[in-house]
Amino acid sequence: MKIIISNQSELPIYAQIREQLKEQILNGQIPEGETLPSIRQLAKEVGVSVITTTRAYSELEAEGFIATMQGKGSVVLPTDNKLLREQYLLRIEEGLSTAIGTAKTMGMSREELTDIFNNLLET
Amino acid sequence: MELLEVKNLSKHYKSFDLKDISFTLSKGYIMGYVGANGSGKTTTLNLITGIIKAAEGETYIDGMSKEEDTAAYRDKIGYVGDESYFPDHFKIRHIRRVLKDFYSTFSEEKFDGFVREWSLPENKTLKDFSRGMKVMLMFASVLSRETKLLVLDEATNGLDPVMRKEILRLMQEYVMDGERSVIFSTHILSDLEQIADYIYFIHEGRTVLYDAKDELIENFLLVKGESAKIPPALKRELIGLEENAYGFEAVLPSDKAELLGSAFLFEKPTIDQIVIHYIMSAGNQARAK
Amino acid sequence: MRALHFMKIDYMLTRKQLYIVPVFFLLALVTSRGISEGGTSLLVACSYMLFVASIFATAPFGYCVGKNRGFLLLLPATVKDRVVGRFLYGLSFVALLSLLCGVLAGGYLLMGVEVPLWLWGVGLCEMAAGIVIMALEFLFFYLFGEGKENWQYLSNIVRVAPGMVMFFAASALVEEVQDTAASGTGMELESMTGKFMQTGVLAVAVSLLLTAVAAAVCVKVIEKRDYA
Repeated sequence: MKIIISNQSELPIYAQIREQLKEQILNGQIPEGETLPSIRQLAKEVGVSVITTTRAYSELEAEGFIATMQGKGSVVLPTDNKLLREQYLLRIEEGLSTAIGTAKTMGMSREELTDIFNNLLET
Repeated sequence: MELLEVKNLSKHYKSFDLKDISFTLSKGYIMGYVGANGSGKTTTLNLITGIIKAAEGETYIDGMSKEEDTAAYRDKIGYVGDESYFPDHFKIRHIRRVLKDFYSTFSEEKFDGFVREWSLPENKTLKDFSRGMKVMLMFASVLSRETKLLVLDEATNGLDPVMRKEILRLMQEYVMDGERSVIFSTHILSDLEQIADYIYFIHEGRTVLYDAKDELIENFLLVKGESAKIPPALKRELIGLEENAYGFEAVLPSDKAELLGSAFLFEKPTIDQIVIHYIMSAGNQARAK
Repeated sequence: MRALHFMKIDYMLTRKQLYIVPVFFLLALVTSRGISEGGTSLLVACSYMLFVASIFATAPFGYCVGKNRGFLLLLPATVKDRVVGRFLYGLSFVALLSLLCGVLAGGYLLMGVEVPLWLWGVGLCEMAAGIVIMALEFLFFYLFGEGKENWQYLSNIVRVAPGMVMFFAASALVEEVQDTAASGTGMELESMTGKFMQTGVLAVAVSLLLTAVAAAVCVKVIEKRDYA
């Protein structure tokens, strides 16, 4: 498990922690069933406030990545493939819509855009 | 569970009034008490430790007021100031003696451990200690006994970055068990910002902002752009507008973001930036009157 | 108990001046050397010691000013503990030097020199005077200048003046006694002896009472103050 906080990032610190943990859970770097460090432990290690790590954990919990049990800490839940797929789908959609948005602002035609897309697919 | 409760504290001086300070700090959290020099930070902390008396209001630590049992109340507090508060003529052994006599929970091993760890000179009188050594000795005396609340008054002022980092670590370690809390005052947060859970910001003895730090950062935007382009509707909402020949910088409540349009650059502010622009805005208002 | 701990703090604060006490003892020894004329040289030596005592007893006030007091103010204790501790320091310091005078006199006794009984009575009176001066000075310090920086310069006068008065008063008393002793008969001296002892014990008792009252007043006043 690794967490790197950037002060330059536009993402708030709790979101940086949340995203990095999510990423590592999804790609299996943090395996299912693993106990995450406690909220206070993590806050101290990373050097951020307790409220910040609390928020990161509770959002991960709300999204179904971890479960926090009293006295046992936070445990990584099994990520079924469906969830994984959804996450990746979401990311693909995000990337594509940014590209489409940029294309629209410069007035690119549908054909030109699909050409670029197809060309990129072949490389 | 609240560890520190401050209720409507006021204190009057000839040239300065502290008015109606109220907040609570839960067990296991860190609060940054920020404001410019002379804004009332030290007065507030002195009221909390109880070495000065409030005109109005009360403070409770772990549910106990100072009036209830002064000695027991003080026993719960560990205080580190911006200057050494030890008698200059003392040596470390005298400090150790006093701590041993007065605090039943004082651990000599812990104290000596800190003295060794931070290489504090045993044979010098305190007046020959460097500023850094004095600060670390204060920390040693406070951390070698059982306390509930750590009160730090500008304790990291003028220390080098390595020492600041060490103090940051000590503060986080202190709240680790979720039973103890820290309140620290400073006129500039910088590296302390990251570890603070709550921010209380006062200016000229009055409360300006008080919230969880993450909330505060989300509630404001730092806005930059060309002065000429600011529409009047936006200008009214900007806090602490600072203009120069090439542009402006100000803070804007996030809920007013729709006024921005696309003409301006905005980013997430630091607490220091929010504080600076609020102080500027107070200055601007004073000038306008 | 905490008051005793505060007394200990005062001794630690003023530890340097404790090293000078033996020097004063030696000085007293030299002054009283060849104890003569009915022991008056011993009396001069002792009033000298008590003069020193009344000056030095106020020393903790000078060591404990401004920011330097923070640590002591933050200790888990009450104003009463602190003030009583300070008065105990004053009392014990005067008592310490009185004891040294007693040791001096005892030494002469052992050496076979006669130390008249009335001299012990006068000695007690001097001790009482030392305690009263200490108590008044403490009262003055607490009421007007405790903990204030810059105050200690002015305070030097306050510290020395009463001691000086006492020293000269004692010298005058010694002369008076000498005259009485010279003119009076043995009978008169005999009857005076008992009186001196009585007066001495009474004086000490009164001085202790006065000290207790002074301490109580200081506690009441300081309790209302900030930085207390």
